[in-house]
Amino acid sequence: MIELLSYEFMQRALIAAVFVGLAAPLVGIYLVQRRLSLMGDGIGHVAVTGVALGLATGTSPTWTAVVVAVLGAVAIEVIREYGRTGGDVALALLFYGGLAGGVLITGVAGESASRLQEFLFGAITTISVADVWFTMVLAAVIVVVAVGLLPQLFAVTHDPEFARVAGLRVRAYNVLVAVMAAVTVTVAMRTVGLLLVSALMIIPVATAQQLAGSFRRTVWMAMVLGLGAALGGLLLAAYLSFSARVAPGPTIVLVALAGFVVTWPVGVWLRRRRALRVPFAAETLPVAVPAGAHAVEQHGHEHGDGCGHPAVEHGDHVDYLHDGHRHAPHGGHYDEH
Amino acid sequence: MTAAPDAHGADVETVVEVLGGGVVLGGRPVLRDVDLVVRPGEFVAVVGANGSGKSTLIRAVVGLRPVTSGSVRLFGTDQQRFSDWRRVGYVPQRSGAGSGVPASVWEVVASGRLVHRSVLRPLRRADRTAIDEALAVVGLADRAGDPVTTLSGGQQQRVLIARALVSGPDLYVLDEPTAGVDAANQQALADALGVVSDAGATVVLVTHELGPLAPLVDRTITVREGRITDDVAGAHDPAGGHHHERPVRHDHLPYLGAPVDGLGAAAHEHGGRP
Repeated sequence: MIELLSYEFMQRALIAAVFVGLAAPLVGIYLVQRRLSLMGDGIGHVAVTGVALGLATGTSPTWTAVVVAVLGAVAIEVIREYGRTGGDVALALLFYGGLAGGVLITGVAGESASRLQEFLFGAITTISVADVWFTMVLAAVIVVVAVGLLPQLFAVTHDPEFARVAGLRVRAYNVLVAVMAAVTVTVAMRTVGLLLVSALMIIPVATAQQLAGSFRRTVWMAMVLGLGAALGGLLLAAYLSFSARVAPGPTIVLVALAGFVVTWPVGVWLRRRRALRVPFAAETLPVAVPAGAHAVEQHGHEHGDGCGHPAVEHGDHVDYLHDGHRHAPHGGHYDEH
Repeated sequence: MTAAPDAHGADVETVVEVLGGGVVLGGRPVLRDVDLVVRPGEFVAVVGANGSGKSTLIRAVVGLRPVTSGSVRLFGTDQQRFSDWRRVGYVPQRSGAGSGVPASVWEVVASGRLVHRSVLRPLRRADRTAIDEALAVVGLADRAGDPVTTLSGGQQQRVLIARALVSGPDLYVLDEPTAGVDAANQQALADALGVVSDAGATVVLVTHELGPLAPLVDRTITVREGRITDDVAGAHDPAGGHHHERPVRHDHLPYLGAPVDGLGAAAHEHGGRP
């Protein structure tokens, strides 16, 4: 195992894994918060055309992929903003257009499918020194921007309408998130591949939000989990490759997924424990209740947060379940609802 | 704070000024030829049935739904060119479901402080003090570190109020702050708004039931079918003080009324509230 680390290709792979593992979940958290978890996947599809253009023209596939992915991400954002109805259909057109175009161009250019496969599913162990530099610089830029603008990006993705009235340029920040996602996709394509890149952006975030109670903690936890999955997956793949052909890209994704599976029951338990502190935990509602009004004296307390009676949101007010009745505080007494 | 000189040295006579304001959505007029003037220090309640256009009116005021005709001015400046957003504290309608990414009470309130922070400037002591004070005003100081999703609807609404409070605005605009909030939390909301109103801030809120807010209200504006139909001094609760003389509904289906329901004098007594 130790001698594995002495190989130069392995050292390059480890460096790339560290940077990608830190940067991908950081961008992913904003996508999850904007409910655009699949956007990374879409950008990945569009980037295939970029890679193919690079292969066909003999230029660096990495740079052509960056350009095409950024254009695709901005296009997705524009379609989302102005498309309204049918926006998801337009996105689908872009996704599959990108994938089909990439495969077609690769074929026309006379490149083999296995060359394209390096980009589709990752080939971290064949990564060149130039590619390592490219990964390090772009990943570092993403981390600096995403952490530096964290308060602004949190406000814009958490509540866009409030952010707009607070004077933030919501549209510009949305485009920024899209561009960061596109750059992350191309940075990570040599590591986990264009078709799996979204997993490294989203799964660590999904795992972190099982455990964390604040946005900041989710960010740090997702970065640590992403780093752990990228390094762990790479080393596991390298170790297993003595006995079988194990590709690092899918191994990294499966390690991340395993992390989610392990933490999910913990998250369920945590949420249940937190929910006990809140009155909104009614499982069963009494069906038909007789009309009438209870007097306040029968209670000894006023219904409210934490009074112990399950509360149910009912239209514009809140009812409290009390001995099989629904109590709606009204004036000095409770109405039966 | 009333009639305080603005940045240009002139006395501000109006905080909000809508003249001939109209909003058309998908070819349908939602707001028609609305005139509304709010002066410094006023506490204005905008009431009306669902779909009357009252929310659209205040969304037009803060620029989320720009008027398609007429004009809107904030603190004497045309809404489109207004940029002094630290003077406006907006409390949107509470949305039901979040994205699932956790956010703590403190973090949500802190995001209201962004109007005072330029990009890349870290939180200063003044920011932290303002956040602590805002949490104290809404009575949630002990929940600062909790995820927002573990709070009840009423407490979440108080978090949104604190987020507006924290920037120390001159004008508060609130969209249905009491909807889905229990009596104890409605009182806590009213207390918090009483504090800012006493400090001289202007408050414009949309509601379909004043409840504990009634003693604070200086002026009630009724919106119906996109027009202001009533503009009276004092609180004028559309839900009425007491609604027992009305048959009480016991099913829990959404209230579906005929278009003529809620018209006429009965609407002023108990309109809207199922």
